[in-house]
Amino acid sequence: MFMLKRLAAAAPTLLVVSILIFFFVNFIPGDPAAQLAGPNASNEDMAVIRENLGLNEPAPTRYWRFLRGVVDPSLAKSFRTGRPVALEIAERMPKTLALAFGALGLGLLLGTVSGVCCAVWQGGFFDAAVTVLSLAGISMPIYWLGLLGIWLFAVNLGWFPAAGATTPLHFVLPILVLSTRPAALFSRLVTANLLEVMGKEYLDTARSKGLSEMRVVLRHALPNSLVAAVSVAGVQFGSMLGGSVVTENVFGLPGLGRLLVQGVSSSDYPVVQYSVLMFAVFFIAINLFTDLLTQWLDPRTRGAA
Amino acid sequence: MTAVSETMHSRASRSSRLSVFSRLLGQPKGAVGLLLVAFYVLLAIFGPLLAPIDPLKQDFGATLRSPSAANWFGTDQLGRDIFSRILAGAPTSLGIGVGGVALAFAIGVPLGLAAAWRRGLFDAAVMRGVDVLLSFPDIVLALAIVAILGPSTQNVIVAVGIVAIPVFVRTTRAVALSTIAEPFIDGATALGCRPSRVVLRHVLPNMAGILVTLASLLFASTLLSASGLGFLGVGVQPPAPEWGTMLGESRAYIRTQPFLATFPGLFLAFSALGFNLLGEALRTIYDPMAAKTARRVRRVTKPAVVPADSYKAGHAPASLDALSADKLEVSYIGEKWSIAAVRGIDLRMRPGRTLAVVGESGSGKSTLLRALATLLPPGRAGVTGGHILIGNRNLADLTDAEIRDLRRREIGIVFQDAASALNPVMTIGAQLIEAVTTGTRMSHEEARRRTIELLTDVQISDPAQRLDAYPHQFSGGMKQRIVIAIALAQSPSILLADEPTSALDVTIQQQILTLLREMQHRRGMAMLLVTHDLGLVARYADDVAVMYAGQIVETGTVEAVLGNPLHPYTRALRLSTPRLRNQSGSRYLPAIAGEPPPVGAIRSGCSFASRCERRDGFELCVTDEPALRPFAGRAVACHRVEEPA
Repeated sequence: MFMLKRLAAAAPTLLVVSILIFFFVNFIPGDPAAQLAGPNASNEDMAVIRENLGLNEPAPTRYWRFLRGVVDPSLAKSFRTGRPVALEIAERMPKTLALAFGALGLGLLLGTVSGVCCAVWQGGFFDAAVTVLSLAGISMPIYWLGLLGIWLFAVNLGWFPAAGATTPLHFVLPILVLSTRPAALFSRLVTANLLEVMGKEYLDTARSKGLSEMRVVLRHALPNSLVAAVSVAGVQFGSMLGGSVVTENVFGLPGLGRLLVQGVSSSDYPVVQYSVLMFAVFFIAINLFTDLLTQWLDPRTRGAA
Repeated sequence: MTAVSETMHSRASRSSRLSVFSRLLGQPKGAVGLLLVAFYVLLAIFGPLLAPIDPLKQDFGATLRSPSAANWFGTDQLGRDIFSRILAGAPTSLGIGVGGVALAFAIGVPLGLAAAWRRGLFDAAVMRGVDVLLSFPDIVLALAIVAILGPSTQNVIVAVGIVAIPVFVRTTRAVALSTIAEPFIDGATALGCRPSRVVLRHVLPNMAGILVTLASLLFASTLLSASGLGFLGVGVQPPAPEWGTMLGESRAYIRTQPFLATFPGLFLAFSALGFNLLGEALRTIYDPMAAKTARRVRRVTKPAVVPADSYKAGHAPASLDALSADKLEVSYIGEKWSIAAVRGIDLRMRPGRTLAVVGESGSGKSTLLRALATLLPPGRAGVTGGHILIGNRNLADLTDAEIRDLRRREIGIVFQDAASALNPVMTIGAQLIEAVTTGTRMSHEEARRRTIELLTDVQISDPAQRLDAYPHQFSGGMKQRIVIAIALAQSPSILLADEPTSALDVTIQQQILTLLREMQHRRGMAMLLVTHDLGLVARYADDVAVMYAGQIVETGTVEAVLGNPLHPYTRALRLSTPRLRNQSGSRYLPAIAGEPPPVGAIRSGCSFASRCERRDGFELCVTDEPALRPFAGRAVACHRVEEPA
């Protein structure tokens, strides 16, 4: 029920976003067909491009065609390679998903563990170390971190391959690099919220039951602090998706992000359009997922049972 | 608004600007952040002038060199001097960040202000637009914009600027909305200020701090996105030196010459770090919510105990008391101070009897209960004198594990506010089962059966069906019943109740107290009832101890103390309680004049002297602290108790 409500709320945004991307070529200054065809194009070339873009048809028909292009290989083709965009997406989507969710999961895990440790050893060495590391984590350009990672782990130590995506081992380094930012953000959120929660009376109730302090923190304080941390962090995780674009390019990982950058640098508009659309859908999906997670963590948001 | 108050306003803002600066330097984050930011500002201005070699001069005889005296940071794939390229690239690298933030600020802040001021359709439209922009991961949006406009330095600024607009709009709008709600804005409007003037003079200055903070934090991320575009090859175009672009070019040579990637990365990372540090330092100044709370997670369960006397457990007289305290002193402890909230209290709790502790807020009664409950916050409060015996065991001698065992089996606690005493994200079943099973080897079925029994005992209907419900699904009275069930989980011999009904309405109060008394009688527990309500004491307690300023001033049986109060404070309390007054009394309740002395500010003499009806002309009351002494079937701490009232 809640899920349906959230989907209903996301739908209009998704509609506006997809229409915006659909009209993307129209934002290009000048006649899109002329832009696409280049300065030396003849009128016949332009007419063909117009036909291919479907610019002669009414807008709703073109929009519907555009949407179907996500799955229908016959509808949209890359200017640069001539390959159907639907095929490119189908091939690359799983790699981006693996990278993003791997990094998200690892980041949440690392962030929670270090956040709890920081709260427990407030003011101690660990706390200071993590504070410095997490500041470094949010200040470090992810592409630089990636390069350093390649240099250390791939070139010098030879533990992981430097580029490609053929084995699971290829994903280790990119996931590690991409998880630093969410881990740093989440660690700080967990610490702050845990310290906030530590003053609550229900923890004294838990102590009065004769529970160990460890159990009081992990069973009672932590779930309560995660509720607030997750809802705040949800917004930030979007930036992690952006990070995946950069990470894929650092590691030569052929995912959607790499596709997008190749499209941008070669003015391959259908590729840009569809990969931006996929990222937006993906982003909205992550926000939905965060909402669901918050709801799962906090029974008060589930409504009357 | 008058001229006078306007000058005051601007003077206040000038002095606050000065103090912001010193407060920034006062924290390590702020000092380091300012230092880094200053370094980068200078670098951006003077960098190109300082470059020793032409940053574009190629030398194919000296490509990919390591750092040397001639080329401090080495040379790149075209033999260009990396040190010179970094210096010469500073204005561009930092400028795209500055430009982006400035663009976002110039568009986002007015939009946010207008949305907050106009509300309605305009607001809705702006916020929808913000939602749409926020539906793209930032670098994806920037890439799409660059795809439309084409890669160039200007277009990178436009792209990262547009990406940062929604953040400014949202924050400006949120802060403006809360500022507009402030009474002084209404005042200014009522005085006839034009809306634009109200916004410029009042709303904007009030949010300046938050906007500066945001700009600083956003600068760091904008800089990184802008250089990210450079790294991806669609930002600032070669051969112009820009740190991100330089990093992008170094990607291909990471195997042969890692120094190519080292220096531009370092300069980028430290600039982002500087602005992040500055932003965070600013945030602790402008956003009080972000300031770190002084709390910490506890590591010790045992209350800090400073042994104040030579008491030995072995010498304890065998007694029938379930709990006793002797000369108990409890203090709150700071780094350089310690304040006694409980100052030398003796009390006994006997099985089957209820001892009420009565006093105003600040009298130390709740601190006393926490000390007895072994729940003083470690590091912040502790027993600093005397001792507490539970049965024949001295609390100070117990290990952490023994204290936990005590909490499980010997002591039950009913907290003041049931709503905050229950964990909101756990089912009540889980919370009860935990209380029932901790420290025991009980099967799940057994624990469930026992839990249902407990809920039946505290008169919750359909207990089996409610185990999976969460606290927010119960009423206040029901929650308090659940708290009582948790307290009774392992049949304790001592029940400590901290104002158990003050958060409930009157009819529910009676039900809860009747339930507590019934449970106590059935199980023969010793109960401590902390309250400020003499009416409850008269109806539900056997003995009473009246507390004032951390000490007991009168104690005895309820009949003796409430029937004929002898201490002036008890008397005043009783006179101000409606239900206990004689019918002949006036319709107005007398209040006790004055206020209790603040904790820690207790002077010599009787602590009640300044409010006492009898104090006049009796020097002893101001010089000597009266001790509790037996008189007329109770103990009283008053020098003049023998005198008729």
